[in-house]
Amino acid sequence: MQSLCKFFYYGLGITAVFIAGTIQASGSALQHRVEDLAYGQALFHYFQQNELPAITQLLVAKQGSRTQTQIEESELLLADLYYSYGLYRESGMLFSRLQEEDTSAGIKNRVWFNLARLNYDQGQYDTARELLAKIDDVLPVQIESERQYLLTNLYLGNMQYQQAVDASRGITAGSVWRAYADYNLGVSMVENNQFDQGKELLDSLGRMPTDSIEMTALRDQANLALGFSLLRRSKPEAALANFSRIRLQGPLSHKALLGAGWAWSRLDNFDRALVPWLELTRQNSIDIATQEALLAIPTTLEQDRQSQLAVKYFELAADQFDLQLVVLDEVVTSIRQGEVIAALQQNRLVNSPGRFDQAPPPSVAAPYLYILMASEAFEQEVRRYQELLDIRIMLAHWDGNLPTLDLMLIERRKNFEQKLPLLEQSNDLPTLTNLQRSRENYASKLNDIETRQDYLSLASVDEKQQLQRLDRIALGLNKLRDRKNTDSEADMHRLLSGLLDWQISTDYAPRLWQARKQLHALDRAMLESEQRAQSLAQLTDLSRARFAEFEHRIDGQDARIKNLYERVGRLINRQESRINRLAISAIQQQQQRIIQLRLNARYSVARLYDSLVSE
Amino acid sequence: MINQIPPFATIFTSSAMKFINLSKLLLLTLILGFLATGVNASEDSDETLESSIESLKKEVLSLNRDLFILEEDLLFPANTQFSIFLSMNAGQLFTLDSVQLRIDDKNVANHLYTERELAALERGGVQRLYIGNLASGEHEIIAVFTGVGPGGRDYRRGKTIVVDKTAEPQFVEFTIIDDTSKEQPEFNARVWE
Repeated sequence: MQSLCKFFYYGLGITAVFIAGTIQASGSALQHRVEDLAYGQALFHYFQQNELPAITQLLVAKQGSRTQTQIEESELLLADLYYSYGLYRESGMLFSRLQEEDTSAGIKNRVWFNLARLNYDQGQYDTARELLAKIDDVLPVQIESERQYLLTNLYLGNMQYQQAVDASRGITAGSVWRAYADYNLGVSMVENNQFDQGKELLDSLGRMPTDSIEMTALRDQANLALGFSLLRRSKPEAALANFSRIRLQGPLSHKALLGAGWAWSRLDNFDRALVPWLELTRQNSIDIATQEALLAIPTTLEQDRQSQLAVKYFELAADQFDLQLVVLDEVVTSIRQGEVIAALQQNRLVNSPGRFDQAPPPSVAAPYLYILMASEAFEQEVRRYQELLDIRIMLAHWDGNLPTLDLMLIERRKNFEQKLPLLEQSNDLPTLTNLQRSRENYASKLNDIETRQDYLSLASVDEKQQLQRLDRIALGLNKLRDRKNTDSEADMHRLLSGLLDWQISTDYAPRLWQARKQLHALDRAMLESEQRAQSLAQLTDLSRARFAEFEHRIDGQDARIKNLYERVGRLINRQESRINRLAISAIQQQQQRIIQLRLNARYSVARLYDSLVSE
Repeated sequence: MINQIPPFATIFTSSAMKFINLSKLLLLTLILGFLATGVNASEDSDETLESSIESLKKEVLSLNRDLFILEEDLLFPANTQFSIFLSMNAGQLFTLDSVQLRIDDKNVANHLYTERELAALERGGVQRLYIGNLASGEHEIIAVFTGVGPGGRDYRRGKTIVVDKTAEPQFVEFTIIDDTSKEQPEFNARVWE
């Protein structure tokens, strides 16, 4: 079963789509409910396949002071991101924790699904099936489609066709998942004695109208698979119809041309068979289809009893193989000189991570590495390499920014030190003590006035002046009394004095209340001053502590960055060697195959010469 | 396993040159060969390298987190920190090209959108457009959105919000939504508490 599932992986080239995470389903316009800015920001990076900033965002939100409202969703996303970023242990642990914790049923179901996906990717199909069975509710529509797609593949792995068909029917019609599920079903069925049902599915996919690049590629793939299957069942005419539907500009055009040649050959129409094959050889590509065509032409000519022409084409094929071997030698040399690595670095600059499959690097070697480059394993290696390059860029960023942060801290500390005398002045306790003493004097005086009902002490400045004038007048009248009759003036003085006294005494109560009010206001102001002084003292201490804390946080980061920078450099070198080894190995495999083909071509030439001579 | 099917050349040689069956063999090989695309590069995987990369990634994530928080704490203290975000709801009636942000009549940010960024916004992502420092008190924030509106026409709209900055970090979110009743995009702004 495992090998069958791998067949779906490597054979059908669907991995790139499948790898896309729960939230990141291909081509989805799924809108996510966001009530948490940090979660939303992480999603923004995640949807662009920028795992590093997305993970950082969530870790910062988790550790920092930002309020998180969508904690479960954030944790689920983080686990998914860890997985995409190749931190499988962390991902598994987080998924398991979410599953064990008291999370909502919806989240639990999504965790089951993610764990199933994780196990499926790692080839643990039985575990994946068990985990999928734990899901007890319908998942959000896009994830539900992916779940049914997974189930379809798992049933196919066990040859449970009816269950697989049922699962695929659960996928939203017209979705990408449905198309891939139908394709897998179709290929599996035509290969395993369910030809008619499989043919129907593949034929339907092969005719589907679409503008999407992804779906057009799948349509070509369906036509090709069905075409070769029909050929094997000796139905060349039907096969021709499928091959003719494949785009001539697409990546499968060579295989389609080769297939069309075989179909005409099966119909004993050798002249028509030669047309697509000769077209293939004219394109001068180094690929399996072209190499097959190079030998298929003379083989067919020989079958058609055109031995002399067959000899000529076998010789041409052998010469072509010679040339191809020379080209591949040059490719190996260019790989050793770092050409593929340079192209990958350029590709990283031009394209975003994870886009390698859609934009192969422009290099001499790339056209000869198409099989390798299409493989999930190689894509993983390239992705890992790009991640290492990203890490190096990021470390360089921090290396450049750290002195700025240090400088910023120095400036802020200097600014603080400059303001410190002013702060200390505001925080002057003797001044505050003097003020407090004055307040106590004032309060005591007020109490005394109240006790003695000394209303005159509460007279206003004007009134006090008037009282003083009246006192002076009284003195003057006393002095004049012996020399002059001052009775009327004395009556006037008494009247005025009485009037003023009456006025001041009747205002005593509101004046006392006003004085008390002012004392309260003074108390409040004093309290505020004390609090401010304390707060400033605290702020001074806090600022000193924060500066020390910042210093502590900055200290050692430089060494940390440098250590990581050295390590990433070493790992980049090792990863480059690994990619080069894989690329050279792929080219050498091609060379081995071509050597065998050349041997066969030359042997055929010799054999045909012998038979021509004996004739 | 399909991947281990003998390569074409081997079959070709072992056929002992019985070319009558050659075409069938070629065809069979091609069919299987086409299905068996891919070279399993992980066969020669270097576990030490993988675990070293994994360990490096973990340390880098931890460093990134620490420095990110340090940078934010140092450059944008909580009492003055002010951030502006952008999100979308649907986005069928308006295709965003660019955003310009002004705070108190001073241009603080401009952003041109890529297709990937737009797709990320349309799927629910939230973009931080700006982070900076703002003194306590009232401030006027203006976001000018440029793009393609209903009917494929050029579209430019501004949205203003006046905020009262306190001593706490403040977050403003602009949202582009589709007003299907009016067949027009709508631009909203809110302050996150």
